[in-house]
Amino acid sequence: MSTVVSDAQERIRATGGRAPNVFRRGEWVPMKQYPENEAVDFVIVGTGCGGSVLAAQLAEAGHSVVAFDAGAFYRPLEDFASDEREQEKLYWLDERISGGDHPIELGSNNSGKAVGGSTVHFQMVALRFRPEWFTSRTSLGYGHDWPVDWREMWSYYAKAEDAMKIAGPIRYPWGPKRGRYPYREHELSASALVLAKGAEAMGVKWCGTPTASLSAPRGEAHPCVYRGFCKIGCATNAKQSMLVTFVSKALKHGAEIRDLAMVGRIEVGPDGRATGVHYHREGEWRFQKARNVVVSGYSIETPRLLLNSACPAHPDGLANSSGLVGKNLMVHVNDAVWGIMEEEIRWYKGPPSLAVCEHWNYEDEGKDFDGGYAFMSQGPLPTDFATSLVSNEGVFGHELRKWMSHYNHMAGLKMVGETMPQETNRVELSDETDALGLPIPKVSFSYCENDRKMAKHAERFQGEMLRAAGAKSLYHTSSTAHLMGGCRMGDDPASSVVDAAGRSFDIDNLFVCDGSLFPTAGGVNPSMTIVANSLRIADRIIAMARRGDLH
Amino acid sequence: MAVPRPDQHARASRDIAALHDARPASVAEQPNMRSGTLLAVTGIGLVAASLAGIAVASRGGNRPARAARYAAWGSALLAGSVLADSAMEHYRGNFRRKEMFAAPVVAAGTLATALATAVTSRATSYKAALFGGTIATGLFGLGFHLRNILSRPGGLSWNNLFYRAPFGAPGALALAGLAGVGAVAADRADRRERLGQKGHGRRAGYGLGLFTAAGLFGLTAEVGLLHFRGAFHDKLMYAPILALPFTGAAIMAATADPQPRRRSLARKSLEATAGLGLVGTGLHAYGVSRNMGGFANWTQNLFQGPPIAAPPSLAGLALMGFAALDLLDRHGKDPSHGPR
Ligand SMILES: Cc1cc2nc3c(=O)[nH]c(=O)nc-3n(C[C@H](O)[C@H](O)[C@H](O)COP(=O)(O)OP(=O)(O)OC[C@H]3O[C@@H](n4cnc5c(N)ncnc54)[C@H](O)[C@@H]3O)c2cc1C
Ligand code: SF4
Repeated sequence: MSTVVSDAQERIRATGGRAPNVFRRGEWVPMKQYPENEAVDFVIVGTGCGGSVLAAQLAEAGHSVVAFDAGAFYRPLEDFASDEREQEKLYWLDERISGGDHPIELGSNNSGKAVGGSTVHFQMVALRFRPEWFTSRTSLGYGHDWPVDWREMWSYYAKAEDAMKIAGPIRYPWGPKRGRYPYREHELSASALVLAKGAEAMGVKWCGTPTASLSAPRGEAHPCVYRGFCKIGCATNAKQSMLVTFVSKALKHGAEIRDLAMVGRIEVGPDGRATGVHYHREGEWRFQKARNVVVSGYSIETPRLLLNSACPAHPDGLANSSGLVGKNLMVHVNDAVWGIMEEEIRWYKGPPSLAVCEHWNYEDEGKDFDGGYAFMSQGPLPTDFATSLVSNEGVFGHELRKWMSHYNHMAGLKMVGETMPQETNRVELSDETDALGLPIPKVSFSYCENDRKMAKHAERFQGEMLRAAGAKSLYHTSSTAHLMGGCRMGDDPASSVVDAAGRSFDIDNLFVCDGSLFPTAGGVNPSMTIVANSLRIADRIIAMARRGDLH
Repeated sequence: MAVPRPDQHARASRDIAALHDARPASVAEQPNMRSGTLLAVTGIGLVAASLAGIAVASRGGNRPARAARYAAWGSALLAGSVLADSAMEHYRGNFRRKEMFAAPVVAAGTLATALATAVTSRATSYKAALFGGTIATGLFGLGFHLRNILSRPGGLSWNNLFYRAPFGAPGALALAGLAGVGAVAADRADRRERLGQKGHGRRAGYGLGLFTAAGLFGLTAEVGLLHFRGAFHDKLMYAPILALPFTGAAIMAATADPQPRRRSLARKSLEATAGLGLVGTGLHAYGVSRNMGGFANWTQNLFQGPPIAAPPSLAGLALMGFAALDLLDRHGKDPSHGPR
């Protein structure tokens, strides 16, 4: 096992007026710092798609911002190894209890812990919601409506895509017309061509996946080298994670980032309003004063922090008068079909999902379920793939070796399927505590009948397509990916946690801005929707501040 | 939803065992050559072809006319660019088909012939035949490249146009052949004009001018496509797609009606195009340095692009244009004897 000598996890790096320069080995960029005992305009908890975007936009508008992240501040060029084990350092592997009828696996496939959040190891699939999903209750008869018009979201998607220089196809075959992606699509890998071939054989549309990886240089970031280590962190900076985009932008505009800083509790003053956060850094608990607090810790940590901040004024946790904090947690059904191709595929090459089929997101006929799913070509790294073989097929030893000997001839299609929001799927606090004395979150998850029908439908359809592409010896694996919901946004204080600006109905200087706001999951990977929504929320907050509507 | 289903599992295992035994032996895809060696061989090929050309030439014969020299140097530059580019790109494509060896081999032959044409007037018929072969190879190449594009899912899609075998490369080979044919024609025309047979210089200039313009328009399409693929991430990437069609139009105008003002405008824009070829080579080198590892990782990054060998072909085309102008200067309206 190769190990990179990196002190990012042991020692704080963003301190002393500087933060790591992510584009250079061993170099730094200047960073503004704020005293703890003077209230900053915004404290932001988490620096993923929600937190870093907000930090950058608010700092750019002239607000004082301190953003905390429990994870380390890496320089990808020197801190990332081409080694699956070593790179587990990017996952949120703190203890969590997972229950329900279908307990979800937590960590590698749904949450990250680093400055830049889960995007440091996300797989860069950059899709938009189908417009009707923003009104899925009124237009399609399931789930909940979003408190925002799709056209507004559409304009923010364009901004998000430009900020991340998404490499996408010139014509996107589904949904209303969209502007041109800022960078051109990548060359299709052999594994992407399997999807293309299958789709053409079945007469179904397909296209190159819009991908958050550079297909041409951008500033100091190198273009993609197609080595396929994306899921364990991109060492060339081709991946347009939050770390190399919005975190850099935030620093440039005067935001302070505090790495290796775990926020444990939001403090509420006698007037019932937030006054700052307690955080653990360098072995001690500290306190940062703030005029406004934004929670952006993603669907498990955001509810956990709100619930753990309960106080006499808010005995059920902050922002929880609706009782919905932590509820309606959603995942994506991530079942896949795999097969063996006659020709060599070497699917580990390049970003793993370079071709996509959104047919069943846009086609409503012929479905026996609500919601939609997309599916993409696959390229898991060897350990990842072997692990899924062991856990799904139960093969081991010589048998496993035999299966793995087909690795270079394998191809697969994996779905991202929308699960339904259910109140019983939720995050709660358990009685156990972690090393910092914080209650460990307990996550309960069960598929509903609709989720299962969708998974069956996808298994059949993906299998058919893989077979049409020439794959043999098909088999099927089950898993989940991504997290959505847990702090739904909406127009009604009784049925949502925050409003369309992410502002709590209960505490007017407390905001949520991350993937936990999703009222419904949608059948596409969530990051672009989170980034677009965060850009939208940033504009609303900036407008509120201009109107004198903030403190 | 739990998945291990013993029956299915047992069946799959059996299938897989069968397939395992039947699996085709993995093909030795990569030729037995490292990219560093390949680049060295390409470099040696360039030098060898040049030396061969000059060796042929050193055995006497008259010095060709100026227009012929220009066109021959243009042909040599184009062929050299194709030699370097096709050797690398076809290596990258594993020389999967034998035909893929044709491009670098023919380009090397063309380079040698072009250099010989630049220094001596001997053996013009052989040279013309060889250049004709170059053109034919280029046209066949276009066919192969088109088939390569259409053979992939998506067919004539942007993705395949961006990343499959490019139209421009065999086009450049055909142009090298055309420039060579033009050089031979210019030399012959010059001889006839000197014998008092009027009209030959004008006709040769006309042909060379048209081919140059066609080449410039073709190159605009190729550069446009590839710079679009690079999302014009650097604004300088617009320069060739503005300059090339302008130059094409200028040389067309000068060819159609070779009056002094038009010839002078065409000359200036050709000079700018040649300059752009030089600057572009530098910029492409800078582009290579922006890949992960920069020039320290040259064996990989020279392939990763942008192709350093591509921009010199602008200078090659410009030389072809200068040849046309030289003929038009002498034999067009208000003849002059070229610049100065
Ligand atoms: C393996 C993998 C692949 C993925 N692939 C894709 C993909 O291809 N396309 C796509 O669109 N999406 C993908 N995603 C999902 C996407 O990355 C997430 O949905 C997105 O990053 C969530 O954004 P967020 O801001 O809500 O949370 P995150 O990005 O997870 O950020 C939350 C941050 O908050 C920090 N934090 C949490 N609690 C605290 C606390 N109390 N104190 C301090 N810091 C805290 C965490 O350390 C973390 O850095 C993938 C995710 C994973 C895990
Ligand atoms: S394949 Fe491209 S995006 Fe993925 S890790 Fe390598 S360079 Fe980064």
